[in-house]
Amino acid sequence: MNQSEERYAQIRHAYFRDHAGAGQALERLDAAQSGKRGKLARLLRHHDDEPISDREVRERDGFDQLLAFLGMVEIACVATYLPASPPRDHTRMAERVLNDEAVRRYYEDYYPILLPQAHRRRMEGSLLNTDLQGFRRGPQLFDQFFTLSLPLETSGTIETFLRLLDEGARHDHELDRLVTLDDTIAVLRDPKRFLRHASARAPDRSSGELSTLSESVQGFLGFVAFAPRLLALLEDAADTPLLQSSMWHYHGYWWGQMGQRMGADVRRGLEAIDGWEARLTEVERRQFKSSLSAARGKRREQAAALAFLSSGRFSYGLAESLLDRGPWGWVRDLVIQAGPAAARRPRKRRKDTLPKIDLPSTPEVRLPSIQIDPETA
Amino acid sequence: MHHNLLTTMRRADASPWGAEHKTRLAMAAKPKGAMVFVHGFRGHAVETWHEFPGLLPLEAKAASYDLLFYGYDTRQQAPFSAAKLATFLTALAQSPAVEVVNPSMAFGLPERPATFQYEHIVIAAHSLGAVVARLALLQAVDANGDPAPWLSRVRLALFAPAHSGATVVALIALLMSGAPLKGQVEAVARRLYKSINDVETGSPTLKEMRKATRDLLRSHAQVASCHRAWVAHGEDDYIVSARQFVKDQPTTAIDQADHFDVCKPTAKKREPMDFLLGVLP
Repeated sequence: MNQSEERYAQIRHAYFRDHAGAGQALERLDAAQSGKRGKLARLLRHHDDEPISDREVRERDGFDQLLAFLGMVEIACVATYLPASPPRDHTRMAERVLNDEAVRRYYEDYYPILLPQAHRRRMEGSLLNTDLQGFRRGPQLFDQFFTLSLPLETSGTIETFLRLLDEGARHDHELDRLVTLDDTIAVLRDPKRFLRHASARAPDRSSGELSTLSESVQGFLGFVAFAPRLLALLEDAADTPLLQSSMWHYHGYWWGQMGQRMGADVRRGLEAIDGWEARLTEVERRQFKSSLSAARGKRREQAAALAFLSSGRFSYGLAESLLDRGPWGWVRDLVIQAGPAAARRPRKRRKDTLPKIDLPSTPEVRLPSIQIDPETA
Repeated sequence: MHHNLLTTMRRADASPWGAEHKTRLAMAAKPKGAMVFVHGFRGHAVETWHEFPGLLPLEAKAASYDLLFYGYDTRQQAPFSAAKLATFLTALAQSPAVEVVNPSMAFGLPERPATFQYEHIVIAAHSLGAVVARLALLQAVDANGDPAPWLSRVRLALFAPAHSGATVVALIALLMSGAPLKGQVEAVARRLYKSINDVETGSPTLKEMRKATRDLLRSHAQVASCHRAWVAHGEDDYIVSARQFVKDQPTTAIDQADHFDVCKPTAKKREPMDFLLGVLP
């Protein structure tokens, strides 16, 4: 194996060995391509057409993992961690996935995400790295991004929290009822309940699984802690807008949702934790002034990072690289007219309507160096 | 970069060592050492160390070290966690290629020979992790009950170790986002986190650990040299006592760092990185 092949093998290992989902999706695709096409098209339908069952959600998660893998390979190519043309084995597999009619409709029409689209263009040979030629830190930035993102990929708790935000309600097997984000916020307001849910571990439960509420509380903590670190990495990549934007797009769906309606909910969660201070005596507050102040400072930093990441400012670089080449005017229109959030995967909108999105006001935090005027882009 | 990407740490039978355990294996054909990271109270195998997993592979001095991120349930009593860590360290010291490295490697990458051994094992531990690591090393004995010979290859690098005791109310503040809540919250915390009793200042666990370490350093000075740890404390740490533990090296003070930050280097704040690199042989 040469260096590129070894590097590719490591990325593939992370998605196909450490998670079974991507491999299962590939098998399902093989089966579909050898005859059962209708089944795959039905599985990868838009949720407005027919609600998605729990079993289908799990099967679709496999395709999300597969597309995440292709997105990560695309970022590796942009960062010059991998060559502009990935190994031949990958190219064959990627073309088979990305050109499949049902899969393509899934990532282009129903839930448009840009990284797989960019990767398909790369497979066609019409996408080149432009801003990283001669930039030596690309592989290092990719390495750091992969290291930062992988634990998030494997965290079921963060996934649960985000899906709760996204879907509104999920069933909790311990409470035997639907729980919502309000239930999570109620737990965050009550220190004793918070401690129980934040400390719960799956093996302790008779079911062997954490409750949705416990997962949501732990996922909330993990997600808000992740945000400042991702923002710091994106700022570090400010010299390379395409790489910066590609890394943002990897998690872009969630930041998009944050911008649309979740930012306020997450802020409510952080404010609920602020409220614990009211339970302390004046003496305790004085005695622990520095720790309280440090914790408060971290929450402010997390809130600012979440606001910044969900503002959509990082979405332009990748969108632009696609727009400048070939018949991609519709993406350009989508991004420029509807705002950056249009590059995200909408879950609740109809196929034939564009989302109306207002950019949130700029928070009082450091500005990233990427400054593209939508009027002139 | 001198290391492979982050992967799940696996046993010889390919099952994961733990839900959180991860590795970054050195690209060198025969690395001279391993760095084992052991997180602290309510920490996480990888995330506790923030940028360490991403920045260490850029350091030339770390190029010949495999990076192993070990996770454990911090609610358990420290001696139980130590027993599990001792099992892992024994496998790592005696048969690293078969028990840890080769099963964790991406398919197709060159495997290490079964006879491969590390010259050095550096354990980097934070807070409660320091107590767990010290207890694990005390539990590592051979068939005769003597300290395991591989201990002579081990060094300890401890960030804000809780080996001289921690304030319980401050530990609860750590659990509760800085708020030192007492009463029912403290009762729930003590019930859920049995390890609190182990690291409370003056606890029987800490007293016994201190005595066992002192005895071992007297009876098996060479093998037990691993117990002469390198220690770093943050100047703003209000949780653990910075008192010297038995015959540890003189303490390194890290400016403007609290209990949480002391083990988290950034591109701009290198002190935790420099401290750890300074411990490498």
